[in-house]
Amino acid sequence: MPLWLGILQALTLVAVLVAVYRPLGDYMARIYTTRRDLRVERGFYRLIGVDARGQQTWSVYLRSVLAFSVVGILFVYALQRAQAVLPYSLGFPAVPEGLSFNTAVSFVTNTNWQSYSPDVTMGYSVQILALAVQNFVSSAVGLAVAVALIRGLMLRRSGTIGNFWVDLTRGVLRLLLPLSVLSAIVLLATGVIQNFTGFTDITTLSGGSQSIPGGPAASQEAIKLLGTNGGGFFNANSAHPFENPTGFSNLFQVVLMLAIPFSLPRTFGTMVGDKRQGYTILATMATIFVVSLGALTALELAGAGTAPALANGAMEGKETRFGILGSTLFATTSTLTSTGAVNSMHDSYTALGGMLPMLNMMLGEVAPGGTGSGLYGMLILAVIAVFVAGLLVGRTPEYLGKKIGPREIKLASLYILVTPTLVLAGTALSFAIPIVRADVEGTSIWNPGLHGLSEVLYAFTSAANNNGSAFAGLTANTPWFNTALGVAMLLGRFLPIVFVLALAGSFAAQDRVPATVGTLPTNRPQFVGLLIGVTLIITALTYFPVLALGPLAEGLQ
Amino acid sequence: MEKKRMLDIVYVLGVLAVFALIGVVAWGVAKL
Repeated sequence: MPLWLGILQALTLVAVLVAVYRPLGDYMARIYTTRRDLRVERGFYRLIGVDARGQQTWSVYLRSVLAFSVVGILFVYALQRAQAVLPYSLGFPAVPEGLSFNTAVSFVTNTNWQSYSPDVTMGYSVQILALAVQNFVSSAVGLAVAVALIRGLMLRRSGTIGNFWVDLTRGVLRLLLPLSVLSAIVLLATGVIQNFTGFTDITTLSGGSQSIPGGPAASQEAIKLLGTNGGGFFNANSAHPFENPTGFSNLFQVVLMLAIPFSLPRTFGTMVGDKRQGYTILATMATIFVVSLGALTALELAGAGTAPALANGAMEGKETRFGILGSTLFATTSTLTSTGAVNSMHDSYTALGGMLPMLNMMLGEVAPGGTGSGLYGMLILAVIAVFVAGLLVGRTPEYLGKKIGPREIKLASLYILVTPTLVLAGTALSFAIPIVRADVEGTSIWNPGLHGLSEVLYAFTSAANNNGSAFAGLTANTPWFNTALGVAMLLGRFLPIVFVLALAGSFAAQDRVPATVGTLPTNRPQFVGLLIGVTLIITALTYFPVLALGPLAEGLQ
Repeated sequence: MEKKRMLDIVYVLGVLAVFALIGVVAWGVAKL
């Protein structure tokens, strides 16, 4: 892709995101604040026995999230294990136990890590009834938790933070479903396939035979990206021409990944009654995104060696129809949201270039992050930033009129600690337990040495942050990785949600204190700088040692 | 076949155990 086209691509992306920011953000605010239920929603509430007017405390809200998710995991697990007897399974056998566990957890936690090749493992029944359904509802769960936290900040002296079942239903029926239908139609127009033909046997030009898989890709592709899910219908994910055929479809897919996460700050600003608060969060997210994209693009364009010099950049593992600019834009978007879809192989990036998608995830996927999870992650960082500012310059630690006391800062700190603990402990255990190390080095790692460590680190970073992308050189369909990554995904999703909802409950119970001269303004540019600083420092301090052992050392070789 | 069923049970119980752990953490958080 020539430079001028890359610039045009970036300008188009910015223009589209600016255009949807207000209408989509305000629409989402209306969805979660209106008291009117649609007829179909009332019918659904009656069916599941929910009082839509009933409000939940944070602990009841949390119990609803956990109950809904555990049932989802068991359902997806059971469907995979029963695949052999399901219709439209294309003759595929039951999915093995460990892989079923890993996949069930992966899709319910919005990670969509895939230790398998979908084209030759999952039939249409499992793809549609299990995986696609979770693409919708896991995304709606993230949105619901974010909205619950916003309510905590807007309510005064309230014991409740909303109704999970209402938030979940509205997120799916009013937002994700209609947008997915529209997006699928656009994707179809760009050439993404949609059929139920199974495999088509053809004879190649050289006289060989080839089996070409079909399937309902367009409909799954839409929610895969819109819900920041990321699990591909085909093994090559968005590098596959049936999933992402052209430069235009590539740009459209990037728009789909960013539309909701980048509009949520508007929803936040509208709901708390101060739109400048939303702009502050948006500016923080956008700054980190632009810097990360620029750095990755520069590193890949400057790839060292004869081949990159001849190809004007490190093209290994990248599709020529997207080029470096289309690949780095997609990779940055996918790892700074919680999508994890790929249109190029991150494992083939330059050593330092490969570190950046990893670093994007290590930031906590907050710029702009997953649907809901990005916003609540950034709001937690805002709470910490306010607290740090209070210590540095003697300001009263309060955010939007809510005091940041010992309980609030403990919850925010626990949130920040969960994911790095899972990433670092998981990576360390993979090499510290002799029997596991023998298996990891003998079966999983095909690139020994520094890059092998990076592959394992990437896997745990991706799982614990619920991203789902991979350094695909690692063979992860083993008992250790299926189980350990599954546990990392579970704890990496639901422990932070525990702390976020507890914080929401804590804020909701407080009255709002009036702003004084001692209050730190959180809707001005200097707070953007503070928030970026806190985000980077927390990440750098936590992950620098392991990055030094892996990609940084490899880059210096 | 017996071994296969055992693995199913192990994974299902494992999922329930992780959620129980998350529940314990939530209980502890409520006491903060």
